[in-house]
Amino acid sequence: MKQLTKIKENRYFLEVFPFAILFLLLLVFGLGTGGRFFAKANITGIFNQALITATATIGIAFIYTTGNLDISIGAVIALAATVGGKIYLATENVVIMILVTLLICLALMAWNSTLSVSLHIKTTTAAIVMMQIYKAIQESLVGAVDLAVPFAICSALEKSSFRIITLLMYMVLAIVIYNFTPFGRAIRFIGGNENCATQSGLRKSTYIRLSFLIAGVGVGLSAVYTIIRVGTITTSTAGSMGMDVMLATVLGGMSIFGGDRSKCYAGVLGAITVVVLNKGLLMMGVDNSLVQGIRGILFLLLVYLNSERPDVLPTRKQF
Amino acid sequence: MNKSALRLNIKNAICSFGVPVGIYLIMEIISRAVTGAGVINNMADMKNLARTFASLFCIALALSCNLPAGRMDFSLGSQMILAVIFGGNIALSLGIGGIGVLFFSIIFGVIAGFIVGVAFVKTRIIPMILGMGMALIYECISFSAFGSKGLQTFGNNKLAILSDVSFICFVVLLVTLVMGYLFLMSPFGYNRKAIQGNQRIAMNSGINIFSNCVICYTIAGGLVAIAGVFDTVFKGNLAPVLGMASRATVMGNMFAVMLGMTLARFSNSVVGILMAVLSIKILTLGLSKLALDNSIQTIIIYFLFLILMIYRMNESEIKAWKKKKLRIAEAKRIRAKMAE
Repeated sequence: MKQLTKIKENRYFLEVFPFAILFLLLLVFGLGTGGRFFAKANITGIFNQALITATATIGIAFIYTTGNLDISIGAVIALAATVGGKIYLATENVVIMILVTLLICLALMAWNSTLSVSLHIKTTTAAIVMMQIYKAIQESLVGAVDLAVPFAICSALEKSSFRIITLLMYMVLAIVIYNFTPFGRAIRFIGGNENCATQSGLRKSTYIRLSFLIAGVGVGLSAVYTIIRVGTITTSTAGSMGMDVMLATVLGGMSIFGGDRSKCYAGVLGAITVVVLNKGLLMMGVDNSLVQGIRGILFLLLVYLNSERPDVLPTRKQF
Repeated sequence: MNKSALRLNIKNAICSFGVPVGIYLIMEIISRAVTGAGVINNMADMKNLARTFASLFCIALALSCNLPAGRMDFSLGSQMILAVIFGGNIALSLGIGGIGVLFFSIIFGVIAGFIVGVAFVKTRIIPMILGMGMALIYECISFSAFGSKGLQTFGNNKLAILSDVSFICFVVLLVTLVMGYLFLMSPFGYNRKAIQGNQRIAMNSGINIFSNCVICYTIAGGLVAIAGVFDTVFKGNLAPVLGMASRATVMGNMFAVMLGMTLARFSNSVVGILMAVLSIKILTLGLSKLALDNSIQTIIIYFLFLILMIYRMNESEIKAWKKKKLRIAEAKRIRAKMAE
């Protein structure tokens, strides 16, 4: 146990560990599938699937860094994608669809931050309540018949460089803000020690609000990519996104408890690892339910390795 | 009993019972105005209310085992599914009736809760995160077991007792008494309250916060198993789920705990939750009588939850603002008097 703690606390552990896990998974699945895993179609599939989670995770890293957990991401993406889809069907204009989807996500994330910052509701509780409301609104908007954006439009956008360019732009911008600006340092400080940060004169509420807005852009892009990839929006769209984002964050080597162990690029690495894990296990013939069980064990193991063990029980009062 | 104590007791009783009665009256008026019929019209409505009430009451109590201490357990839904699928199928294969299903489900619920409790104490991972991980694992186990069929109760005459209103009322009464004793009168309950206040002080004063926590998780597991059995019998089957779908059990029932904790200040935590669950069930029944869509019902209920939460989280500011307003009014009155 002591040795495990020593390894955990090594400064290079978190830097190397996510890459080692990804490399190990690629090696195992490559050998296990006789090289089929590295087929072009499979790699493209991994990229397409990882793209949505990665974009959202980069954004959500800003919220996690401040020590807050927002699990309503799936519902936000679903609602924004539904409205975006409806707007496209009404206007047949792709630009308007993208802009509306982004704006909806920004507005919803801003509302979530208002609940938490101005109305003093704990972020997680606010997210739980709003998640139910967003989901219910989305369900009533979708109705009995699924919402279908024409395949030709989705396919054209998927084949174009739109997704890669926007993802790269957002990622570079996020990394710059996160690592090379006072804002990035401030949110890491808030996540590391909220009281100390406040005592040092940082305006916590402003930073948290801004973190939610930056996350909103990532979540918005993710919603746009969801429309492009799926085309048909149903009541189960982006249902597991909240959990996927959390898993990607952990697998990418970032602490979901915030502070100086956080890094925003972790999401990209984590998202690729999640998709590789899912696809690899399925290709090796592992049952879908068992894949989930393995994900659960891996998730807990990584969170355990990534967190400090307090002498009392860790709790977070929600009310 | 002196006069002020009596007045306080009467006020508390009115506040406790006032919420469900008030909601009933409001829904009754709306329902009669819109549909021409009341909220509870016949025995079928009463049965529906009793059955859904029993499961929500047990889930709310289970949530309240850990939630007030800052432990939000997202694995409760998966514990419920696992307990009912395993307990129910084993009891049915042994040819035991409804009581057997309930008994075996509780046993499996207790075991599932105990495992989560021990995992929490050993790993010290934040409860919500641990709950998510455990839910993934438990969902996987429930899905893989018994050919992914879950539990079928529809048309099984041996389980008729589980639909009987008198039996449901008996179980609810028993749960109320047991939980009332555990939460309010036992050493475990006193320790739990101390830990809720400040776990470090509780630990320094000699309370074993770790064993108390494991017991809380274990009780919660048993309670969700009871809820799961009634819910399954009411719906006719329980299908295993994947992808964290089981967390809806926690998210969908938090309003009851929140309202219960608010009402608890007029009585105690168990009666508070009882009244809260009754209020929510009457509200839900009333909304369904209005033939509102499920999603519209959810929106209405969760907006009420949001309003309650905004009030609770800002209660001290609201009270301070009211006091300030009164002080200003009084100052104005005095100044006006002095000017005269």
